Amino acid sequence: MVPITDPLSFAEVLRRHRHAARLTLEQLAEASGVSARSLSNMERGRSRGPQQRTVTAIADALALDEIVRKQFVGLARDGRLRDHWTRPTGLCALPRSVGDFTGRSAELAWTNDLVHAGASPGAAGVGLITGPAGLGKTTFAVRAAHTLRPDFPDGVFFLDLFGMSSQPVGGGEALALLLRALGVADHEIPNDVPDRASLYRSLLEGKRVLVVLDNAASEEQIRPLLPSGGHGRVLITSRRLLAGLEGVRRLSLGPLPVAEATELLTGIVGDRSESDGEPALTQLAQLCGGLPLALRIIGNRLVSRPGWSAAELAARLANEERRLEQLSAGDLKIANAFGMSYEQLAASARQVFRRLALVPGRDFDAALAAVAGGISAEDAWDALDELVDLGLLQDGASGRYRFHDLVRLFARDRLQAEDTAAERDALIETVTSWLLRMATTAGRWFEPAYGRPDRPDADLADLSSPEQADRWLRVNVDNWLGALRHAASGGLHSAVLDCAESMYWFSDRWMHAPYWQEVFTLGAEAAAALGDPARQATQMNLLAWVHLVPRDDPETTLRYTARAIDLATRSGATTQIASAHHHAGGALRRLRRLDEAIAAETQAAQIHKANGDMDRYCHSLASLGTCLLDAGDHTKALEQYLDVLTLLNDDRSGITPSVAAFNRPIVLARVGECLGLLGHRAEAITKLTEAIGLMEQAKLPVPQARSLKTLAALLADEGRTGESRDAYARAAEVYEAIGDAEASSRCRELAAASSQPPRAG
Amino acid sequence: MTTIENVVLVHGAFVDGSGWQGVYDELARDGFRVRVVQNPTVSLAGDVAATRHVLDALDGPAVLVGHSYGGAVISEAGTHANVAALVYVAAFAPDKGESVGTLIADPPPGAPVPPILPPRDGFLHLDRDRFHGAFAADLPAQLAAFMADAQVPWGVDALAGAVTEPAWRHRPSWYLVATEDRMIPPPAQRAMAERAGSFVVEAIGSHAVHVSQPAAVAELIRQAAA
Repeated sequence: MVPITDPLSFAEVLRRHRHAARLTLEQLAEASGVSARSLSNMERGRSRGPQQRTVTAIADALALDEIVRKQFVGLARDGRLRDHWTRPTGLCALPRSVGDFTGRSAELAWTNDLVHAGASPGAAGVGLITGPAGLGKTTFAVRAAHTLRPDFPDGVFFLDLFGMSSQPVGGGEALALLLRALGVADHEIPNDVPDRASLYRSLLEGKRVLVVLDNAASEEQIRPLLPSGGHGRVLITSRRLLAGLEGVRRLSLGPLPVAEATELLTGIVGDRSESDGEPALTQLAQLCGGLPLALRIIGNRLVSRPGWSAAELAARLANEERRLEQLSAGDLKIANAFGMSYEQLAASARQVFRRLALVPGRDFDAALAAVAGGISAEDAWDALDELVDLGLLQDGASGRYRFHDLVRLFARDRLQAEDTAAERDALIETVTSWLLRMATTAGRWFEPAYGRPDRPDADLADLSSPEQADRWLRVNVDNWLGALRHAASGGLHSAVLDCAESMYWFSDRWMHAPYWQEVFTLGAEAAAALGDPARQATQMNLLAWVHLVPRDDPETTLRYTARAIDLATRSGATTQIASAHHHAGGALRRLRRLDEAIAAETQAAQIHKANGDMDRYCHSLASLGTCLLDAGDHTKALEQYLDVLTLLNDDRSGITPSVAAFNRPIVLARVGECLGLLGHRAEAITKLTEAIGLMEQAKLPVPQARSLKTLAALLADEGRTGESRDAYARAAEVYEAIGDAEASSRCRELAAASSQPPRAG
Repeated sequence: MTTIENVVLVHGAFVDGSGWQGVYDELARDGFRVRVVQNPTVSLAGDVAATRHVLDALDGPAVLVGHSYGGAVISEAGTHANVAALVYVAAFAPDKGESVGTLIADPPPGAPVPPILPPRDGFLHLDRDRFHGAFAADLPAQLAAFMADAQVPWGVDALAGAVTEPAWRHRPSWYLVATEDRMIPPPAQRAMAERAGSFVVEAIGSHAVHVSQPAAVAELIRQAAA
């Protein structure tokens, strides 16, 4: 996906244009109003993505013609995006601190005391920063965390809990994200929230780690995320006091004092502060109530529209305040500050801005903004650039944008006031339909029967590879899930069911995501509403899978398979009957009800065979082998696996070649395992060695690690100590690569326990 | 669950009830019925009587709020039947038999000494030239100068008045610690809050935190009323 030939960089193009115009850095600085130092940073590639207004000023000063100018502005935009790509993208990475952070020294001292206070009883090193919106709680917490970084050699993590959104991050999901950031592999994350919490606590206890939990919603959300003593420290921000939390020190964050507020504003407006004069800026700072969010928006407003002086803007703000003085002080000041920027937007940008309030998810990209705004993607880019310049939107990672909660409220308020109910409804319908069709198209990339869409709807964003489809589904999950919910509540059953069905294969790629139960439940309800028991049975089987595999809850699985069998029997959907038996077999095996499991898998295999569905038939036979192996019937298990292997090796069996290629090494390894258990060690070693080679080629590290471990044990039993040690060491490597640290260290210990020195070479 | 709709605000020494304006505005906007006690600060008994006078007239339960010396007043008056919760704002919370006088008798070494002048005719005054720095460092100089010149003399009997049955032993309490307080040292505030078992919030503010950060004070009162 990385282009092989890199096009000219923004830095290079800027330098060429400047030379062509025969300007020195100082002369260009003079003409553009952009400082020589900033220009020099850009030309040296140190600032690859300057803001839109800066780029426009430079383009004006260079008198670029329209086409060249467009390229120039586009390059800067690409640079901004690339900048985002190269930002720390580690899990739960702490965002950058703002460069012009101002004041708050007593607050920083408070957090410093907090993390260094000994773990006295009742004080577990947890601080809560509380206060109303727009005070800069997040900015402060990020700054504090950067300041404290040297004290936390094991890491500083940051997690936005989206406390003010309609879908705050759940405690269990938050734990999964943090555990992943702390180095726990997906498959090692426990299913239960209490188990996750205790693993998290034990990790936090032994590590010097600082966790910033931003924008917390409630006590229930936060409680499992708190440490229980030890070295770990937690900083929380919330608009609420979260009075139900104990052992937490609370700091009520206040507005910036006038002097610091003025200093912040002066910094934002930069060079023009001299002409505006301190009294006018002080007055503006006071009118913004010392709220950093309002100060930023007013400051950006001044910078982007040089025609207005600070004094004029202050006079207008003061007027507004008198007009609306019955509103609450803080909210009013902020709304007024937003209003000053909103009014200066072009009508089309205003429309995009307020309509973006209807996007269901937490953030969005230009394609979605174009749909919501009813404009072209090109125009959406320009509108988004302008909104970011004004501070009305924040640009996040990888070309995605988001609102501050208060700005979204303001946008929603404008939408309510300026668009009719019919317009709003139509807009919601458009956005919902687009998101569902995007998700369905993306999901079908992974369906064997679909893949790349032949003729995607013309209005959809282009997804040209499975990687892009995968990425779109992941980063937009709260958007398409929001659309799915909306469509379900609005009775758009067909679209809901199509979308849920399209996730059949994709859900397997992203099995640890917490969304699948909801997706397939909505799908099942839609199928029921449509009176289609066959399709409902499919959704029930997916729900059975959700509970069997990612959730490890076999009892619930069996309830779903029973419903699936009932629905599928009524509609004669034999494939679904077989799938339900197969899932039930898996659940029964987990419950150690092996006779029933064997019966269920046998039934599944028979139906698939009768249907001529050889891929699934083969799969059921392999599962049957696993049940027999578990039951201790190694002879029968071996027969079973050998039968499957014969089928897999038969070109005319009717099995899809890719399915056969995938399963062959796995089944071969199982044959080896059975032989080993039956005492045929030499033969077992041969089969396992062959299987491991095939797995290496096919890149199947999970079964490979298991097979290496089995092989190592067999080699040790044979007295081939050196080879055994090598196999354990290799198993440890593979386990480590798949993130199973525990198994890896176990294998390493076993390798070390071997008495002989390793072979030379 | 019934929430409390009445709030009664009790000011401390050297000031009068007008300092509560910001807190009053916040709470009144939310629909609370707010009463400000104009306690004379001549004697603890007189201030308790003034507070009970206001409490007697209420039609339901109230949050009783005290700032500074007002904390001693609410500790004594807060056993009134109409008091459901107590909020201390950078305030004294004396135990049985303690007075503000005994609480400030042994300041910890290194703690800033409030610039209280020797008593004159039974009343204490704050050194007006050091008022801004000691009492209200986070308020504009002009406002601090006005407060210094408008200060209410504090009766030595008020300082000496001992609490008989501390209300915080009978009512839930909330405490706002002002971290930059140079009248009552923040560690002393934290210790009193801990002794009373209060729910604690800290704010970066001077002793006059109820004037400089009315939103933080109001939020804690809302919490106590919830």
